[in-house]
Amino acid sequence: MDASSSPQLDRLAGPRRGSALTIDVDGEPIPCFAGETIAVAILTVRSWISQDAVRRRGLYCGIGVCFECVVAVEGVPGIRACITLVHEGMFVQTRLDAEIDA
Amino acid sequence: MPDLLIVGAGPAGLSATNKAGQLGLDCVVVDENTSAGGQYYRQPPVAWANDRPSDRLLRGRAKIERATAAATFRLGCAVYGIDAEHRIWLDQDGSVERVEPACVLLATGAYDRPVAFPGWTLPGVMSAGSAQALIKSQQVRPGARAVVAGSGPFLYVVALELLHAGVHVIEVIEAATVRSALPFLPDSMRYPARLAELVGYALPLLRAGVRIRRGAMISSAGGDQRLEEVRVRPVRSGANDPPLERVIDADLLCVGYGFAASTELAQLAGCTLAWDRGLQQNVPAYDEWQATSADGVFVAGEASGLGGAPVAECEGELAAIGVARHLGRISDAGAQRMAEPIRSRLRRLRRFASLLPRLFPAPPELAELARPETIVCRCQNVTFERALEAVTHAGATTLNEVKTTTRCGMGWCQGRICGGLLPSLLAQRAGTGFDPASGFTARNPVRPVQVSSLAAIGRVEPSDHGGPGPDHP
Amino acid sequence: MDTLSKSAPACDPGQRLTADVVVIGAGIIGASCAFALARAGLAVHLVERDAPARGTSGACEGNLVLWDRPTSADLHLAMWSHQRWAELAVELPAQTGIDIEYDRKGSLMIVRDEGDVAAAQVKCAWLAAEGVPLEWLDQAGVHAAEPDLAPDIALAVHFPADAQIEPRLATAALVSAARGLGARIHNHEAVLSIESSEAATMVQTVRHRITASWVVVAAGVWTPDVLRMLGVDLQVSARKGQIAIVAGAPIKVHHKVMEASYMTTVANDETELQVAAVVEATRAGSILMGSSRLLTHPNDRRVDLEVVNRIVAKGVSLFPGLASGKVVRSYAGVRPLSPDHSPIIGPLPMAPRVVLATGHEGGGVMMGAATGDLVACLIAGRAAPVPFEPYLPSRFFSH
Repeated sequence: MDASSSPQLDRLAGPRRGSALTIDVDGEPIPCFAGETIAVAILTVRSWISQDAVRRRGLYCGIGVCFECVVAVEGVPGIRACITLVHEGMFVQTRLDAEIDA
Repeated sequence: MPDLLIVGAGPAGLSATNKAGQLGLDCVVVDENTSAGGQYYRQPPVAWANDRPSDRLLRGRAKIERATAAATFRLGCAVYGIDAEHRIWLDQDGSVERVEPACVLLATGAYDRPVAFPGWTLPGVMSAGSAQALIKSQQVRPGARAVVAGSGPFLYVVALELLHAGVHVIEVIEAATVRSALPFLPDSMRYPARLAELVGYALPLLRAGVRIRRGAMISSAGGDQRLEEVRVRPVRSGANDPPLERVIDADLLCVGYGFAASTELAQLAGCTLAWDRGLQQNVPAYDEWQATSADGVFVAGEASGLGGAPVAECEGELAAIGVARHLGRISDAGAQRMAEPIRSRLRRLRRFASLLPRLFPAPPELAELARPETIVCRCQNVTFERALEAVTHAGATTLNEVKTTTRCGMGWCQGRICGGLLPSLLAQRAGTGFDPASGFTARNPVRPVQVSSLAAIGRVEPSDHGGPGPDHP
Repeated sequence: MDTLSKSAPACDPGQRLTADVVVIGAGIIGASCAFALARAGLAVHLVERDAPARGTSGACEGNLVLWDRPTSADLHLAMWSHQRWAELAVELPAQTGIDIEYDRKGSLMIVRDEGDVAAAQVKCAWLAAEGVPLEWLDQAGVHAAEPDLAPDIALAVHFPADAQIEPRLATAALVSAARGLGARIHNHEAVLSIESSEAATMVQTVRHRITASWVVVAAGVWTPDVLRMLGVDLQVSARKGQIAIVAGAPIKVHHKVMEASYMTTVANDETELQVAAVVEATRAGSILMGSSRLLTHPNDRRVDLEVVNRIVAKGVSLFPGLASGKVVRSYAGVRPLSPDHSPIIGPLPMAPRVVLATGHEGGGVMMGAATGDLVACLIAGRAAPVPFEPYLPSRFFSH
């Protein structure tokens, strides 16, 4: 894995997390824990959350204001990865290309 | 329908809830986060065991537990609209509904004021609040090597939290200097406990070898598709000299140059706004009961001006008393009696709070940073050059006019980010009469809402007048 | 002639200026008038209390659609305008550098209810006789044209010449082109009073006193307020229309797609809320959903979320795939409706140096280009490709 894609985040050792589960991000399984946000699940395996026609996107405000981290979940667009919790088998799409324009 | 609907479950909203509970008000609390607490009391998921919870986390948890017993909480629920009769539209996981509470308390808080500089859209560059939220609620380390840049006490709070989370905090880049703070020091000395608190954040950082650079600010961020290096510069440089830059290798840059209040619901409810010097924006004006100019609409906390959590909590309590008085549940005399001790505490807290933006102002030099190709509207990837052209070529003098020709503010975030940075940036860089106090007109819906949810209740025959009520599925 | 740019030093309050024509209002109509008048060689001052396209023209879809025109008078002006927009789509970008996003995408009129078939046939026979190109599409034809339409839709009329522009950019381009031809633009400058005599007019704004041979009032729904300054009472009603913008829906919309009932909502005098589906894509990739009509007051720009629900439900019935998108924004515009649904263009009988250009309702963008030309012809005393008579304000002052 090159520097540009190595994970942004790692989990702290202290707390006991929720149950282990797996989400599907653009067809790739990503392991994570109940209670985590989509953003955390993705950023523990790579450095960006989504990609539009121009650039890679990460977390910016991190609290649901900026919509920088929007992804599609089960086909529903405009889901903020920073405030949306994962669930088992959740299907997340992170290639935005034409979706962002409004 | 409830007596009171509180938007926002942070310090202001929770304090209001607890007070409203004591006063016997039927209260509903709505927050789009999945746990209560707001940024200040941000909680990890309830099910996560934590052996060493912080004092603040425990205080927050106790407050939330009390509030939960006093009101109906709707978490993960977004307010996507409000009108002048303060009817409120809610969206809970795609299920939409309209509620018509007797009164509304807007405790919608604030967010880090965005600043556009080259590279600010790279993954790894985030607001200070974002890093804090990641640590507090998600218990993750937001990066390996961090630079924290901005102005004010919040920087040191976040830097310390990063340090405790095991991040190598290389430098804190503080725009203020001792000299710039000097005129306000005599006033500040009247609040020794609060000053000691500030020092209490800085000392452990210094002990851990974190360099604190004063009079410096961010210049740019660079890297191949993610943050790899941060460039910093002195805030002021010689008139004709290029600023002296230093390069710091980092994979995390936390930025915090003050805050922006969330005011769109207040605007749509018809609240009169007034200029706030500390926030440098228009915020809802309110009276001694935290009531706005819109009948039945109250405001508390950072949404109406900076003060910090203690101020927000006092304002929340006052607002709850104000609502009970407004609804005739308590007498005016009784309300005054309850309010008086809160008000005297609030006066003192506010005096100190009003010093902070003067001690730690966001430097106007931040407006020098954006380059023509720097993105200013992140949703639509609109560059600074295009926004500037709207002013210099098309003659725009307000933010709404810039939107007309550039699509700034037309994306998912509905202008909260570019609307927070463009007015001062364009006013300083366009060299014409651009209005630094202009903003986007708020419009419903204030949050994106799923088409299928709306279509389900919109399928009515034209003869059914008055539209669907909240009883519709 | 000098031009006024934003960077020019502010004029003294009350500075006196002279012009051939003062145009009041920088919506699509006023901008088009200013451009056409400047092109005719006249000295023009365009006075706007806010900024270009900040009112009705900034809150519409930019329809260049012929089939919804309710009267022959409208249709004739629209057909001329249609031709002019095609020319302006080339001229304006060349002159101003502003792309008005002209797209001759064609429109589809969806005929879904049995009850609409007869009305559509009558309408199409009339349009064809007037020279509007159209073709009827059967089920296979409809779905070849718009594969994401609801499968049960079995009949539509295709109007291949219909087009779309970006109305805010088009207004900006017209204003910029007018400025390039010497017109002076006064933004954020409200009009306080107007005087008119047989020989001249005077417009007093918050900053200037402008003497001119003519005044053009292109103030849309606010036209009655302006005319009241002259002691003239003319009814122009405000009809609010809302639009919802959808992002993230996994469908393609190639044409402007409208329900046949849309033409009924345009043509009638209903005072209650009416909703008819209009769905189209923008160049930016989002999808616009309209439309609603509701009589209101001129400054009612509030989005009613219950009306958004109605619009969205209608849109989804045409394109079921819209359901998984999200409404990211909504806005409302107030359209100027004349008592007989045709635009009001021409001199006031009691003040013949005051020329009106308003009352286009939802057809302001469609008829805007020709309206400017028609006003220029009137003032310059030239013949126009359509007769002036059907549009003259005198029709409302016969007694």
